[in-house]
Amino acid sequence: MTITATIDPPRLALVGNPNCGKTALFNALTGSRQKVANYPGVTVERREGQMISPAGTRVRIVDLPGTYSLRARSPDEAVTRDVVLGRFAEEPCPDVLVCVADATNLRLNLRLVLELKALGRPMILALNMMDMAERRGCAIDVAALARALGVPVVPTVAVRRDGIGALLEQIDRTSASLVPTAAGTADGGWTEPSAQYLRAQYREVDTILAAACPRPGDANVASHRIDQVLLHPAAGLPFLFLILFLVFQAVFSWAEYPMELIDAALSAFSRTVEGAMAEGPLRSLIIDGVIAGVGSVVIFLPQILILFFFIQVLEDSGYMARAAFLLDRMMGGVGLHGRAFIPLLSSFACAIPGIMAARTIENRADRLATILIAPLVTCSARLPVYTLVIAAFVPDRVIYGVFGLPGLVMFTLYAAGILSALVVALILKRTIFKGERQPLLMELPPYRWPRPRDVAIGLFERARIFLTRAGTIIFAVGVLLWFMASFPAAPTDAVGPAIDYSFAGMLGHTIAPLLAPIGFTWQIAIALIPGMAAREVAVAALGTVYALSESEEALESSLATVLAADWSLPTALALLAWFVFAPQCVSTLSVVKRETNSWVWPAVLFGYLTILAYAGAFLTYRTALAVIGG
Amino acid sequence: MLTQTILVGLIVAGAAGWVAWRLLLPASIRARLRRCAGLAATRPAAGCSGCPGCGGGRRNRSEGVPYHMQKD
Repeated sequence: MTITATIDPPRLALVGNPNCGKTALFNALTGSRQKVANYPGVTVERREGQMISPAGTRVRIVDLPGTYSLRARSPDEAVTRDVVLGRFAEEPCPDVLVCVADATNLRLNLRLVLELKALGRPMILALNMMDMAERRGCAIDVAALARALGVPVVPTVAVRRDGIGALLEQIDRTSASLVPTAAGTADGGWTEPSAQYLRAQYREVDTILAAACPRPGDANVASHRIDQVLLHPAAGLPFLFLILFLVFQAVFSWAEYPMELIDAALSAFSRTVEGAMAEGPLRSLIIDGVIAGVGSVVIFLPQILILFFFIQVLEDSGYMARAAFLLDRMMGGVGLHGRAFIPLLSSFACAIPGIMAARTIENRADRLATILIAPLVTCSARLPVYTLVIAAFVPDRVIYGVFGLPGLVMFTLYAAGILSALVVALILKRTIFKGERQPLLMELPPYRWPRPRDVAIGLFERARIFLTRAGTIIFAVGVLLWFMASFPAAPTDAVGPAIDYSFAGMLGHTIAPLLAPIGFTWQIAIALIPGMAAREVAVAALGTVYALSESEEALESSLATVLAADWSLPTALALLAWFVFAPQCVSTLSVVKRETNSWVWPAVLFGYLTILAYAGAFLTYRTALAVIGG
Repeated sequence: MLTQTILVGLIVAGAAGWVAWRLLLPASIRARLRRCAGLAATRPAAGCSGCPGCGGGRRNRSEGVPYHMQKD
């Protein structure tokens, strides 16, 4: 691989330690909205964007996962090493390296800077988080640092876009100085450094710091004091569970009013369509297919936004990294790698980023174990299913004068997902993935106030993703389901609802005997099939199926009310148990295939989740029948 | 009634086509079909944009827009 300085546009690579602000800088430069959070390991794959510099040059920028050295130990670090050293066959080597360093922790960050400088490539040092360094009384002589390192240094505060203009000008100067004929090996003869080389590097860091950073600044006293309480051996874990518990209480109580508003708007829209259109297939498609199907999912938007508001605030504040630390002992008890917490945390949004985040785990067996359990963590797509069933069957009662019963049930379902993930991990680590447990080594970020703009952007993105899914996959599957549930039409001498004679009705009645032992009705059987595309589609499918099966009076009430009248409590509980394990959506299985490069693991995942879901639903249904009756 | 039936037929056919293209066809076949049709191949997934799941790795439309023209 050779350096291709002649390539137009020039390519920049953002390289740096984990959690030093590379993605924030990438977003500031390209206008992207990639996820940023206050803990290491958020970026696990290269991302590419473009910008046009003040001089009018189009520049391609690659954001890379964080690493402490080019000695990659995990797949995400290997991505960084391979891009920087030009080892990707299909990708040219970056023309300029923009090394991002955390100014509050220069001693650690300079080691990577020196390693990159040794490659002999055009390089710029972006000294990020300068505001925090200054607040701590850390005095950095930028000019002296540039002289000592022999590379241009630009102070920045990426989250506020401070210094971005100066960085862009420096990028222009460096890009202009690229010699078109320059060619050579991209790795600069890079080899794994020896212990002697590392010791010499530490000494060089000390020399540079003595020249450029005479005052290293105070330690972060505030973070330390907060940690004394939040990471307390006895109080830390109960506090974490209390926070999670309160989050689920808020998800229910705060969302009530906006959900009622959306429900009322949908009902009004449905009545308007009914009044404005002549009876016919299009009217039925809009009312029974689109409004009843898509509408029954869209109504859960407030709950999803409230849940992600709390997750975002906890992530940005730096508390989530502490949660990893607090749960390390529990994870270690089942043999999980300490770093497995971040993939599991990401899985609360969706299993896909969770599975990809497992790249930060060095050991393959630990990584596979984490990938196989990540889908057990309750993703946001399950929230509509849980909420619908809870709204139908759990009375809105306050217990002990403080806690709402629906929130308590939701918390229990999330806890059941985590618990089952830990149990499966224990079994996997004791059988097929045996091996010594690796300790957790993680740099705890300082506590920061979450920036309202970042939280708002995060919530906007979450709403956009949710509504896009509603407008694409849920809409398309809903239309097809309506078609299957409406055709062929019932014969003239039909007894019972027309849906019984439709394709969907026939399919549902065919599958129903398989699911009868776990108490599922034929309507649930139909809903589970499109639910493979995305779990919340199951709610849309139930909405459509019941819209076409029920009488006019029944349709005046909400889907939850219809379900409460049609299902028994054991059936509802069995469905909740099914969705705790819920056999995976197609996207998750395809990502597992991509990450493991094998069809074996997606097959194993699908197989064990299906068995668990069936067994869980069966036990729940039979126990509930025995205790409370049908 | 006929108009409604025709419109419904088009919507259902469109939905079936979308589901077949996006959900049922393997990505490799989709890429091959795109190449056969003379369309640019989709770029490899960045972050998790390759999935319809969370869209966490989505690129912003403002990429390529001059820096000074980007919104704060």
